[in-house]
Amino acid sequence: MNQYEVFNEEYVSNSQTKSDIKDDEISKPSELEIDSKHYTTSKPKRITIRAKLIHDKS
Amino acid sequence: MIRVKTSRKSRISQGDIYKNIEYIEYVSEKSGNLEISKINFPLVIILTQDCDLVQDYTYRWSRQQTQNNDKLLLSVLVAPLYNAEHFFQGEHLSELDMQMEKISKTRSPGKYLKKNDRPRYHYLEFPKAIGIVPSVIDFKHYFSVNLNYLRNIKKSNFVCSISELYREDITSRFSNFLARIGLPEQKV
Repeated sequence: MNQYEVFNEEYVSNSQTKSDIKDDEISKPSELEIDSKHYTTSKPKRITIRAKLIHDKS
Repeated sequence: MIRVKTSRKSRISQGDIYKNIEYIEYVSEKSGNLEISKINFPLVIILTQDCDLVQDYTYRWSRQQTQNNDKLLLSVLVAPLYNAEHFFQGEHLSELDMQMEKISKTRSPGKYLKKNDRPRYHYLEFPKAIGIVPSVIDFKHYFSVNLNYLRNIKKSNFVCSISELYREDITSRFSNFLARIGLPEQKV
């Protein structure tokens, strides 16, 4: 039987805020009325899991 | 504004909205090293036809004796919901290193989008009590989710269900978008 040992889980993401929005008509993040109850304040995130195969001799 | 139901059925339904749904991009294995890449979507909507979901549920869980597994589904089709403010900034996929088109919500492109006059997108406003900010579905973005995975997390991840009329509007527009015919551009 083979098992996988997870040895690294990392968020591969670009989390810095991009501040190159020039169009005044486009909403800035400060306009967001972020409420902790709101589910949709976060964005889709990529997660990479790396694991090593362990040979179980049993 | 759309109408939603917060009561949770025992089965998965068309128009259900779930939070924190994982999409597996790839799994690779080389010399005993395994790598899994996945994307966590804050919210998705179920697009699979409800009659298919009813039949799957009936035959999968009712313990009825059937001659075959003809009615079982392999997966359900879902589409992510993006925060409309992020969307108009073109920043809704920034965590995936994707810069999307900026759309001015005060000019025609954004106004048409909010009236659902742009075939690619569907704009949604939820009742305040639901706690979901205005959202946009991009009909170019969809993926399948394993039914057992969804069923296992249904209790904890169910948010609400869009009522019939509004969910039919979404899936009708989605299917029309998928069925569009791309004609070559005419050179004058």
